[in-house]
Amino acid sequence: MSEQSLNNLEPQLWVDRYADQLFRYALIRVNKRETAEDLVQETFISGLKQKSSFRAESTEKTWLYTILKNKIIDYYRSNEKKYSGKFYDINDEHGTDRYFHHEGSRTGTWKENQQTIIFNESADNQLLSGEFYTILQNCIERLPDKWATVFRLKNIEELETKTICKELNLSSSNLWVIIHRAKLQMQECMKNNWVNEK
Amino acid sequence: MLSCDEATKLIALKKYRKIRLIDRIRLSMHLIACKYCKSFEVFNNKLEDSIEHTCSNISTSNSEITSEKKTDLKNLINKNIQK
Repeated sequence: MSEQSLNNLEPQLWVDRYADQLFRYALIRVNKRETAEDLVQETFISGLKQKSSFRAESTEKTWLYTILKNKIIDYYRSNEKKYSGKFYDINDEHGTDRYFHHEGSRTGTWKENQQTIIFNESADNQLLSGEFYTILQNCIERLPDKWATVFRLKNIEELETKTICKELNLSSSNLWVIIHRAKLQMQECMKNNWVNEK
Repeated sequence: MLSCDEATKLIALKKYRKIRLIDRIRLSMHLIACKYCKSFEVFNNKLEDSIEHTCSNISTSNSEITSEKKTDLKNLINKNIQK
């Protein structure tokens, strides 16, 4: 609280003081090293440009985090556009219609072309090949960043659902749909890319 | 009886929210009867394991900016301070 509360920014020390922390924060949320590094760089540049907006009641660190958070939100927005109208469209309002009948007496049952048995019951405790996990990893990486972030935030920062929703600007029902659909889509991705020979 | 849509939702979300006892019972009954949802349940477990594994990698290794990039950043900042 010493010097910083006197409205002193010390940009020449930002890299040593904050770069790794900011990088890690970004990496969890975007999952690509290059993207995370770019975001940290943009944060520092914006910080220098907006020096005058720094207020003494905030610390240098909190202030830089606020800038980074906004950069991440902008990144999500451009990232979502890429998926618009495609398989992983985040704004697709059809929920799980791709997978289940949604009309008539068979409502809620699997559509014929989606009936998949990747695993038999005994596979639950079975150790799978490295190839399985490599392909699964590829399927996860194809997800829009915001979706994959949901899974990482839960695991790494062990955030409460409420906090995840707030950070990603989602309602909880949105979040449930995203998790459910993302997992169904990853199973479909596995079905198309991995053949279980056992 | 649960539908497959509801069953897979319960499976997919079990790590993220509490499931009522009644739903747990309905789910296990559904899974006895439905091989497709059973397969999805196994897939979901493998997926969660894999995510956990990736996440522990992020938190341990890999979580620092390379020293070259840091030098670049420092130079960039110094250049912009002088402007």
